[in-house]
Amino acid sequence: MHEFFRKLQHIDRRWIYLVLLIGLVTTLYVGWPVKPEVIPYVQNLYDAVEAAPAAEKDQQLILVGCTFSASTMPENGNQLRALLRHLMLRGKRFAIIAIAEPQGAQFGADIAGTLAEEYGYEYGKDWISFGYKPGTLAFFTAFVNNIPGNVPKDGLRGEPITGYEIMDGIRTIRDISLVIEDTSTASILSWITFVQGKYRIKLGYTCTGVMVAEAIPFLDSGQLVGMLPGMKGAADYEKLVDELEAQALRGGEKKTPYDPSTMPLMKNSARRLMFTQGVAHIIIIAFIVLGNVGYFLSRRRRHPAKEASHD
Amino acid sequence: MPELPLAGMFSWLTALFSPLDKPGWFWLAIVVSTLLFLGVMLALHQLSPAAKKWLTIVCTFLAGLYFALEFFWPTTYDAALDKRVNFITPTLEPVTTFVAIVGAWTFGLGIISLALVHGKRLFRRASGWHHSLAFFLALIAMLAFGFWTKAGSSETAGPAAQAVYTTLFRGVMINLEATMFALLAFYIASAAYRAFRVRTAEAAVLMIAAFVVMLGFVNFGVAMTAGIPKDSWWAFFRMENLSFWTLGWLNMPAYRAVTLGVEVGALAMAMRIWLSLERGAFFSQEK
Amino acid sequence: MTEQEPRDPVPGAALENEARFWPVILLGAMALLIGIGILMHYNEGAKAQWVPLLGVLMTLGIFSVLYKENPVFRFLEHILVGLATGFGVLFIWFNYLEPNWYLAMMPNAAAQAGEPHGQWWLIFALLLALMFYTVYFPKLSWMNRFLIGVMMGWSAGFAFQGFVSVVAPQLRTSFKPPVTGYDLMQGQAAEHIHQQMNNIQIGPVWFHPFALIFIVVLLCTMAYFFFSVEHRTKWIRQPANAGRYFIMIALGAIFGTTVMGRITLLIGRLDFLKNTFADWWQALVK
Repeated sequence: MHEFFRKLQHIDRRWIYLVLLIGLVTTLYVGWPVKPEVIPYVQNLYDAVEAAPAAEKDQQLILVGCTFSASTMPENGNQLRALLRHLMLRGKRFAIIAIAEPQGAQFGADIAGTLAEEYGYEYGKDWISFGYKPGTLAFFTAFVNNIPGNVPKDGLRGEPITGYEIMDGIRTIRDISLVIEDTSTASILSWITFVQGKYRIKLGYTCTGVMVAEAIPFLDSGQLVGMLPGMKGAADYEKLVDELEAQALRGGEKKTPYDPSTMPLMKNSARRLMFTQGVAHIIIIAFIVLGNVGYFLSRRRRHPAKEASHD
Repeated sequence: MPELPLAGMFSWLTALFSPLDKPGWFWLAIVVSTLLFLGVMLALHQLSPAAKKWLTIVCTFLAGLYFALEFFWPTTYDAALDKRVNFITPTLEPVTTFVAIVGAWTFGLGIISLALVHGKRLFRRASGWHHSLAFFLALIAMLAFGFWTKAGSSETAGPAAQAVYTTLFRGVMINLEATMFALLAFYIASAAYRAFRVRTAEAAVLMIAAFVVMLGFVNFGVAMTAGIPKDSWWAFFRMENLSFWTLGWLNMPAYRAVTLGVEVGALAMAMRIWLSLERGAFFSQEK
Repeated sequence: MTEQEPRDPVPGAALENEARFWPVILLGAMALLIGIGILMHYNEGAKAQWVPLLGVLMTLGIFSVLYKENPVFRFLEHILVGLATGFGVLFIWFNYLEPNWYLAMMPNAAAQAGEPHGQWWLIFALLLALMFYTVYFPKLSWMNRFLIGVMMGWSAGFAFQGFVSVVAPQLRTSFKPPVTGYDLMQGQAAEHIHQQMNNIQIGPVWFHPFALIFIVVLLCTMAYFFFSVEHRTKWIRQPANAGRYFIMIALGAIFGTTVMGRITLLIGRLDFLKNTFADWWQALVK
């Protein structure tokens, strides 16, 4: 028996990998979209987007930072998709920009381009890509004062930016009504320093799970208006957007519901993947508990007297 | 605010720094600038180590002074720009862009050091030389087809070149990168199982906080406490609220305390760098 | 099966027991793949499957390390480093240096208004940047140190602005009074249970219990990191002790969210494999 408890503490890591793998793969096939409880950070970001003026008559844009690479695509990509669907449903014009992560420009443009077809958004009129800009101190200092001057060409076609209709009236950072940074890097500090802190531009944050805890002090201080924490945030936001889209479908403004499988690399919705996520959390918790049960029981067996006095 | 007597100086500076569009004049300017620069560098190279050290200290201070002045110098309201400016503000854009370009050129340093490591192994046919060969093949292929197709956006490069670039970027690179990061999930699962032992009270606290956050984020966790009515004060103990509270009211102040300490330390560190009080790394080799 | 994988001392070198034929196999496989890729591009149906096929091979190749460290994983690792390095250069050039440096510097008589051109002085940016590269020549390496020093001084000068932007709001919102004479919600209905619980009216005053918790946690955690006073008296020792527990809670929260993040990445990969296999299955059945 003692040997069994000892073994319980030393399961070969490959068995853990296998259990995790089986759990995830099975639930990818048999799971269903969950209906998450929306956490307030997500609701706050949703409300901020709703309130941000970005229609043609406002002469303002929403700026979406796509500072992520293929490595965090499942998190940042799903967040971006939910976010852009919201913007497109509400007819808000936006620009995407990648600072500090070159791949972000391509992925951002891919996701926005695929959604644009579905939602009838026209490049250069309703949305535009600013491409990749190294998010240095120097870039930001210049960028906030002169946007067209520092984005001489658009990121998708490489044509002069001032030639696009969407850029009419967009000169400085004050013409941006909301910045949302979708990131897997520390780029949010640049936005806080150069844009939110200096010009009081509202700043939203969609980050990977790893970065959630450190962002919360910034939410409390009001430097960030809202946050999508990792996949949970993507799923919550998607729920809100799906509800909005259901309204649009009922009202006849939109004809067909959004089909996630048209998106390359992200053919499942975030809410669907969140089911699998839940299973993974349970498996990991179960393994931690298992290891601890083995630990306690084997200790008790070995030194019952010592344990008793220790307690 | 008193006007600085700089207007006269600016006018000839503006004349000097005006664009040259005639190739002849342009290349003359480039050659003269390069020679001038090399001459200055050659002259500075003759200085004694102590003089070079002082030169670095003075230039570091002046470089830091730029933003410090921009921040502390009194400002006046400029209606055209709709913001408060001082005499440094108009120079911000060209100066910072210039510095950023200087910084951007550092990309070569990374390549050189990688190429040195792998070049050595390849030429010595040391163990694992084929890995180094793969590194060079991948690097050269990416650079060649990337520049040929302008990172996939060129209209003049043929479909074959575009196809190779797509293969390299979408077929190989992003899949390798994404999978590398996906491995971490397995590692964190196995590490959690092996290292997470409740040996002390602190470890117990850590584990409970982790479980609450992990469960509060997923539906199985929420389902565990779904029986608690949402509109009563007991709703505090619903898993999603408990996890939100842990993040927002226990993690947040603790994290903020750490952040405040770190930021104050960083400011002090910046002051030391600016005033060249922090020298070890840069000057120890000069002795 | 051993608990610990043997790690070789030189990263990237071949494994100790790596057979001599591995270079041939790996390089041969690479050549074979390139050949298959060229052939697949002649067939319209196969062409669309080329990128997914590579994706699956790459994914499985990397996952193979989960079973055991192996030469295939090493090989792919190096290919990734090469590609990522090259990609970084491409993007810095095409998105930053070309428009902001090369095109801005070169003469262009046909430049439109607002389009920078002929700024010959930008050559100094390149000349200065070359100073970074003197690090490889010991006699000239003072130039590298000079430039790094100046760049660091430049960034340090910005620290004041950074501090004010990032830290000042954090400091300001840390003053959360536990008892106030006003309603935090200003008469609006609380949407979340926490807002209700944090805004309790007792006669003429409002009590905010979470603000009290906030202050206690903040001060205790600060006490833990406060080394200017020796942790000898109980006035500092006990808060510092409590601070340690609060830090543990924060670390636990970080662990929880980190697990979430990492698992998501794995799910994304498995989802990709699943979808690709499903596509192939569909194509086969048809």
